[in-house]
Amino acid sequence: MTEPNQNKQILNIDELRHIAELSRVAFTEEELALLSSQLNDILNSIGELAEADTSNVEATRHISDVSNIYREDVPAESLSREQVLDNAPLSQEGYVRVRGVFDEEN
Amino acid sequence: MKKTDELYEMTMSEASLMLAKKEISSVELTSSVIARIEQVESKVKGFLYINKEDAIQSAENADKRIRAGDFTPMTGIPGVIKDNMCITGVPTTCASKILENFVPPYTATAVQKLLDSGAVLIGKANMDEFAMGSSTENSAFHVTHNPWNLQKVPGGSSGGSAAIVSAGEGLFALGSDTGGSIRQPAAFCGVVGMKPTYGLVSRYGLIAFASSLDQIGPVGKSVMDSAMILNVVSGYDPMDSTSLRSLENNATDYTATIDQGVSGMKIGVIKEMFGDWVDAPVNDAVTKAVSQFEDMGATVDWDVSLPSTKYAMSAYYILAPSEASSNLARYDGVKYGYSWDGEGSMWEGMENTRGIGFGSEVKRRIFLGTYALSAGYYDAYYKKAQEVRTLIKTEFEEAFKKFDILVTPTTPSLPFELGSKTSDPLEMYRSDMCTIPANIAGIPAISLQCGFSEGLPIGLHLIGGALSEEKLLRAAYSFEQATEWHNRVPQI
Repeated sequence: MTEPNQNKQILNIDELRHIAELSRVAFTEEELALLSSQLNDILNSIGELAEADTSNVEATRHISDVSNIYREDVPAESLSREQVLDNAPLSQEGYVRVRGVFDEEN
Repeated sequence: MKKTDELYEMTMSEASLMLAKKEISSVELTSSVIARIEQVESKVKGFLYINKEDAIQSAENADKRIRAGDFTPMTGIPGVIKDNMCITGVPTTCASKILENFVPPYTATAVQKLLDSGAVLIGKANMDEFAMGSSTENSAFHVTHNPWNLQKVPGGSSGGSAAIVSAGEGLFALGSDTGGSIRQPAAFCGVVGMKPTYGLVSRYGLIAFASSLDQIGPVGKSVMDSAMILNVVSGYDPMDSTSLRSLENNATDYTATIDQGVSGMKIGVIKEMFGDWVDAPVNDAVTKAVSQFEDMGATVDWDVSLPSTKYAMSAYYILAPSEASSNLARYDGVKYGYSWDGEGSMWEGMENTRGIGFGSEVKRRIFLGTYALSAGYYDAYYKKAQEVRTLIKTEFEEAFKKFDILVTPTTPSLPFELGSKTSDPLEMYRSDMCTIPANIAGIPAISLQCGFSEGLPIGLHLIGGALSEEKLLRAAYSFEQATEWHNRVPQI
């Protein structure tokens, strides 16, 4: 692990705000300011990967060589509706209830 | 057999023999552990959930099985489960506010196998929220203290599991290890912790953090105990698509060859994992441990180079947060878990649920992962990290053509002060420098005690090739039997 000589800003506050929105995580401006400095430290450190010569190296997407794991499409016992709804914050008439997806009048 | 005053002080293997001979009952053993919990838990704070009544009930059932002659080596043995593994009807929080009230309707395969073996579950162990951390200080509920020095961290993320076993509040624990989360706390708490080969233990029912790296494994008082736990929890499971099919109808008894010694074994010391960034007492203890292997008849190469392992931490902090940002998208406040109940749209509901429900380290990693996977950055970060993963994996494969075991310290430092690294995430991440490469390569590794400094334990880290658990456990057992470190217990 090499210490970054000088921490350059890789991610500015506006980009971080965009990332937070993509992540669907509410934030305060104070949180964002602290995260910005911490994430820039981390990204500067991670930047050392650029040194590693990976020309002609295949990416490892998964460590085990299993692929396309299928099973027979046969019905089997599953959780009851009650068991599933026990954990749902809101339910109504046997369904999970969600907030309106469209505008209020819908 | 070691003479002990109290039943809770026994190793699992010692207790197992006494249970089988009916010299003790599981109710006596479990009661002793519960009394120990009542004595020290207010100082250690390793648990998130304890159910004494259910534990005694399970112990009674175990005693019935033993009387009927229908038992396994783990029947009647009390232990704990890290709180990221689901158990039907038992609160499973992942040490997060977002799952504070979650009660799973199903049980993780590894836990079910322990229950089927007759093990007695006493409770759920504290951890860093969503297993993200190296000190258990990221738990949304409380910090856990190191039994050797209550001012020090127990390590993490399986800090509760390791502290509980070290303190005698359980004879064994299950942990999970994504970048060192079993081995680093095992080293800090002076117990044995093992991360098996990726795919050896089913991840079904383990709350996902980084699915290509996560692996469940044992925390034990001894190497033999760890082998006994692995015997129960390993094996093919159709419910986990990454479970290794080659294990089907092919059970290994990891205790069978454990005492066959290391004579003729070839051991390599990874030079990149030593240096001035490793504390001197850790460096000295691990170096002495390697000499011990020479004395026991192994051949040692002190200068093995795996140059890409120095990039493992950086690759990890792209791969793990990327996978986490995707895995944690499921916490939306709709199906289960915490849900913000203010007035607002669907998006505001999700954003506030996640903003309030997740702690700061979890948010940091979600943001980091979302950034690494976002348009325009994918090749520079995620793809590059996957390529470096190939380099690391290949270097290990080449090394294991020449060596049976590779050695590093488990952690570069002794257990650190509570609060000393919480404001500097990068510094916290560095405590997993030596353990991360095994997760990146999907190979097994074990940490066991190899010395003390300032009254704090030091961990020896042994890494093996894929599915070489028998050899790894044999090497660890040989070292343990030849040394006295494992006989020390903390005074709490």
